[in-house]
Amino acid sequence: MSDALLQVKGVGKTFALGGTLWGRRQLRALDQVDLEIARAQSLGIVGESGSGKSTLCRIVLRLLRPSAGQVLFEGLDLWARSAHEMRQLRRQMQAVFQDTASTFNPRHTVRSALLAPLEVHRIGTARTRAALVEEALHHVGLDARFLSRHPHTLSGGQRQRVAIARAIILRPSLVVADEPTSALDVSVQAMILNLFKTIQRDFGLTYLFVSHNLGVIRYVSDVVAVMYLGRVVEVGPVGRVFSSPRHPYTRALLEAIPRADPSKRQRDLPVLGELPSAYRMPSGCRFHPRCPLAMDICAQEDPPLYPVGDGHSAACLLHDPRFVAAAPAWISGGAKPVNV
Amino acid sequence: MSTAESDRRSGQRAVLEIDHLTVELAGGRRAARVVDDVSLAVFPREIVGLIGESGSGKTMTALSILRLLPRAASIAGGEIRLGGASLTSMSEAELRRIRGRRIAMIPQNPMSAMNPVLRIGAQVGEPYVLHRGVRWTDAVAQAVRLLRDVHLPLPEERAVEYPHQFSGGMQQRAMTAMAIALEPQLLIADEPTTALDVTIQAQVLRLLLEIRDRHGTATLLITHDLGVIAEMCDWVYVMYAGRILEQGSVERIFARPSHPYTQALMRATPTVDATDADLASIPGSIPSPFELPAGCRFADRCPSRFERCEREPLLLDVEASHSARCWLLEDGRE
Repeated sequence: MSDALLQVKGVGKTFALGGTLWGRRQLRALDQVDLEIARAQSLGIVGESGSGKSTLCRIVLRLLRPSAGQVLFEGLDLWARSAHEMRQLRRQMQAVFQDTASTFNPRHTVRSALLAPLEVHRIGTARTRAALVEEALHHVGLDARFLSRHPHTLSGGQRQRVAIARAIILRPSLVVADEPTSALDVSVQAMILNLFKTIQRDFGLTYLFVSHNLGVIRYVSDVVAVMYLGRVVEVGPVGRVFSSPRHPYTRALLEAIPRADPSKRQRDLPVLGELPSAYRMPSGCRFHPRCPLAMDICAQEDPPLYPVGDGHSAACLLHDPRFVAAAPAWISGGAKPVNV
Repeated sequence: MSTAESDRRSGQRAVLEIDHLTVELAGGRRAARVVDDVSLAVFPREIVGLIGESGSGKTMTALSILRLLPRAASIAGGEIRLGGASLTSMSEAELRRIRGRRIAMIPQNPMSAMNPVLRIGAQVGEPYVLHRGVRWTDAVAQAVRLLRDVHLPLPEERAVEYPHQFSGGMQQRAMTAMAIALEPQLLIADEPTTALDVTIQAQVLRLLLEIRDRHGTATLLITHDLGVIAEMCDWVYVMYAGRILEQGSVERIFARPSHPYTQALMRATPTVDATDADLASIPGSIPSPFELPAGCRFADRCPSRFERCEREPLLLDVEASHSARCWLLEDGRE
């Protein structure tokens, strides 16, 4: 039906941790997550620690089996594929992670790190592989002098470039990037973000891009999903979600970010309490214990995602017809809430 | 001293003054200058920001104040004064009476700064035992009061817990409680919120403002985040490769960033209010402290460099309360 490259349907993941005499403790890392990414688009995922961002990445990459739901890649369930089909599929899905120091074999040179995926997938001959390796390096702005270097002799930014080269050398359609710039300085981060944008344009890549930095997500994403304790609480086109958030959590996140403008200091922000433990998930809406707009019903009813127009939806009961009269103007879309 | 600095000093006595501080790191045959001729001041009730990327020397500057530099590093020149008294020439015994009592530090990673096998109440109350000779039971009672002051919910119950039972935000608030225990004149916060989620960061930042308002504490806030600087600080020093490249009141710096490095940093930072403008990255990388250029430290990455940049620029006035180390400011060139 859609031109979605990737669809996440009702995905849940529960980890059983530390059994006791009275049963096992369960950690619900993801719960009923529905998302999709159109071809050549970027879906940004934002959320704080424990929101389930990384678990989602691992499930999408088929590194982790979901407890519920499906992940469809080009319309077909990842877990229904045979080992052989999956091997073919791995070429299509690549990943870039935060910690580049640990994603390379320290004894490998840049050349062997980039050759490995070609060898695993039996692409080309020895000579054509060498050419592909140089070409991939070139795409990330490095030249052949780097081929004989070892990862630890590179700067963080250079290592992340090599990681990106390794991800694109198989010409994948999907790249999952989990906090790829979080360990980098601002000036280097800008370079890597621009590189992500360039290669997306050049190769028609589709991104699942995860970051806790809302500025980064704003810059690279077309669509953003805001996660909170394993749920998507708001999703929509990034410009709309950030300029007119319709969920109290998204608004709180946006307001909590210090703006680089001393004339816009906000000293009267509502203080959100502590993040609840994922072991003891709040009843009803997960955000209600910290929500400045919480109603009594919010402790009982778990809100679905309510569409609020233009591909934008938010999981807040204030969008429910029963309670919409109680909603402040910014929730119902009548006013711009964020002081920008 | 530039006139910008003297405007700010009029009539007041600084809590902290750093004069021409140079810190060297021993490495093989040569010594590396990780902090080079840095001068800065923090006045009462002020929150002063020291911003820089990795390798700028900001943390080494902070550690010099407490004389807690790693073994390979040493102060090679300059003086640091607290309320007029020289910290650089004090004996270790004298320093021990200053640390925690008159200067306290909030580290980036509270988990590694805490003792994992000591209850929170005992850690937070320990300064009273060490510096005031208070009995442990009384110190723990004081700790509970402090934990309440930093808005930790259920402080009596939390005081008997251990650090691993605390979330990152709670640990950072406990560290802050410990730091303000003896009402220090100077608080040094080294990336205090970098490891925290934004909603929790907002709480910790607000706590620092509250402490300043309540006790008149002077704060040196070290960060790489322009947003944190804009939100919190009165005065800013921009550091790069061991040098201060720009300094001024926070309003002036953000209204009119004048060093090409400060400008580049601002254009490289993605914001949530972004337009479709591309981020400008800064080509190249920060010079190694073992191979510092003779001229301007930023010259090889600077889009506006010209012949003069082969000589190191002085701090030149941009306007009142604002100066930058760039030749472009000379004779109204800009």
